[in-house]
Amino acid sequence: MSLESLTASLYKSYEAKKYEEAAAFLPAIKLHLIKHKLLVPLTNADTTKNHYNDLRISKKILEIGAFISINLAEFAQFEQYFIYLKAFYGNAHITNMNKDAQVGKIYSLYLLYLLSQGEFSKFHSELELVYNTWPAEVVASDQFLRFPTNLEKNLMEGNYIKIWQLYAADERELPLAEFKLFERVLIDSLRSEIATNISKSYLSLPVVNIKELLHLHDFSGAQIETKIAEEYGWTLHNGVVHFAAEAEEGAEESNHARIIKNVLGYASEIETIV
Amino acid sequence: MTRTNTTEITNSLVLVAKSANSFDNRYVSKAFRDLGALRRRLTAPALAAVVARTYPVGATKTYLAAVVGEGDVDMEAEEASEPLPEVDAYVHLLVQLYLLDTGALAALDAFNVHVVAQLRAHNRRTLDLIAAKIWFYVARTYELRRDFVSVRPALQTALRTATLRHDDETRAALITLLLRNYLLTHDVEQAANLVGKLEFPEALASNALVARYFYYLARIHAVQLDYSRAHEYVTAAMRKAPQSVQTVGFQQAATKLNVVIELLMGDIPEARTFTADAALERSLAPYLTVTRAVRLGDLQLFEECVAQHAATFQRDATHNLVMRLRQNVIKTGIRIISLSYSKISLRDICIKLQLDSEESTEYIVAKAIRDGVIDATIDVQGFMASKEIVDVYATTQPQAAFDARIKFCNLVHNDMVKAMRYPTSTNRVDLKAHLEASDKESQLLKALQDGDLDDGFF
Repeated sequence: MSLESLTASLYKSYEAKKYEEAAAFLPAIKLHLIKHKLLVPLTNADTTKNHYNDLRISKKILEIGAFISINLAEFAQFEQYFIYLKAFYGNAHITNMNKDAQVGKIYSLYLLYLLSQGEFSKFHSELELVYNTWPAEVVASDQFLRFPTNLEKNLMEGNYIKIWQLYAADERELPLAEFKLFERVLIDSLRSEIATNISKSYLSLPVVNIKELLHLHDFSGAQIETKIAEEYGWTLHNGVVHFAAEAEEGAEESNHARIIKNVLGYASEIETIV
Repeated sequence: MTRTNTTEITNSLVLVAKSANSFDNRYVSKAFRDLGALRRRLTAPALAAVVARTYPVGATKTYLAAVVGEGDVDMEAEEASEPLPEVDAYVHLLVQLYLLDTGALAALDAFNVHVVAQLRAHNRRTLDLIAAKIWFYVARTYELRRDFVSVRPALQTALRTATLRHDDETRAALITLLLRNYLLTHDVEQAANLVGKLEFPEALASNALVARYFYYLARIHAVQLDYSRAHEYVTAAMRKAPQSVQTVGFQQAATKLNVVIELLMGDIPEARTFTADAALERSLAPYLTVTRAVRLGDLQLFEECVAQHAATFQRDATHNLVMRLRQNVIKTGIRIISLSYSKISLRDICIKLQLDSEESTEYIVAKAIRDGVIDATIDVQGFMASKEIVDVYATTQPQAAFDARIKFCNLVHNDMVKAMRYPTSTNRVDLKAHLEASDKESQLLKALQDGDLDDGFF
């Protein structure tokens, strides 16, 4: 099959949201792109206008590939597509940052993906790039980008209420339907985060309050009790959870050992000096 | 004027030649020390005269004379022999500087190609220091032309060559240049990858380069949320950098970064940091206001201050880091409340800190307790009760701090021992000659003490 007909079928199945069918075309298309030197945008002053147009098309194909892999929950593949696309976005002749809404979508999905994986340092590296290379007004007004950045900010501040609100909103109110795909992972990690916070800061807490704090509205009483016992390892007494103060014994013992180790270290250093 | 200028250049060339003949790079360092002053007074006629005197008739002479723009150089003036590669490189460096300072960027760009080809032809360790400097100006040319990407392959190839030749000075210079290039395009990921795969010749490179390298490392780690490592590197950078008038730019940049990192770690920088040095005081003013806001835990003041100085922070590339301080402002607010009240309702905290709601206050306080910002508990009725403040001296903290200091002192001592130079034993035979030599030596060392971070980088 030629590249044109493959791409046409890809568009068709993608628009019909038949993601698995669409994904089947991608490997063959990628091979064609490599053959025509379109997978990596190497441009210079001699690059013709036609070649730029071709590159723009291959950017579009890669974007579709990224969306498909996200929808199929193939995150490793999505990361791969993102890396390809980054090269296209860095080239001002191919991508117009001011007008291209796709860039914001792809970037916000990638940022969200990093958050869901707990890759905070990568998240911030990307953010540094976004904030400093894109026009300021684009970053400020991009509704897609605002979602992951707000999420991270609230997560860091501990303002979890805002995060529940972000996701409690109706699916259609999310800027991008794909954001919903990360909900499960994010909420799970959020719950375990909150659970650790609670166990550190309360001596005891009734189950009702725990239900409120962890946002376990969809769970029945029995489900919550097993969750408490199994997932967090807390013990339940008459509807109240008591958090055991963490035992700090053994610290004393190792302290002595450490002092001895340190002093011996100093002694050998002095030896070398004298 | 031209005459003294020419003499100065010739003197430097003598030093350079001496270092080439004696295999001792310190003479080049001495020449570099005068370079800063010499650079400001470089003139085309002086350069042309030097070119005429140094090179024999040939392609190089004609080319250099053409670049300097004094076509009517007396081509037959003196019969010079082919100069040493070191001297040749040094003259090229001077021409580079002249072109850079006169703003002839296009000419400089063309000239750079010629210089790099020239450098590649020689593999001599006495060339290292000069080569490192030349590469610096090559990269600087691209930077001034706002062309960050196309210089990368050249730098990378040169880095490979330098590594294979054990050319440590050039290697260190190229690594810092690549890092600088990546950070200028804000590609932190790429810079981190480079650092992860390379070994920086820390013990062998000159201090100025090590200081720069540490500064870039600090920036990378700060972006990647590794504040304690970033803090280590930025303090190391500030200590390594020579403290002279020419390095004010570097000191400013490093101090700014240090202030932000300290704040992010939850420390408040000392007031002395902002006022100690008159040269730094004015440029640090925005950072002082941010510090005040964080110290008071005042969210409103913080927002105002960030909005007001946004442009400055953008220019210093610290904007994103400063934005992250918002959570620290809240945490300090909670800490201050926890210190002043033994028991307070979440509702009051919410009002005092201007947070959105009582529920979010509960989450935020719980997180603060977990992060170890405060030592307190929350009870079911919605009160935060602070635990008794323990005597710090009853804990192991002072011991740990003392241990850290002893370790640092030992490290300094060991580094000093490693850095010492011992005279070769053959010199001892002739005591008189030795004394004379040591006299010269001490002069040279004195000259070197100030370092050479003088190239207008910042």
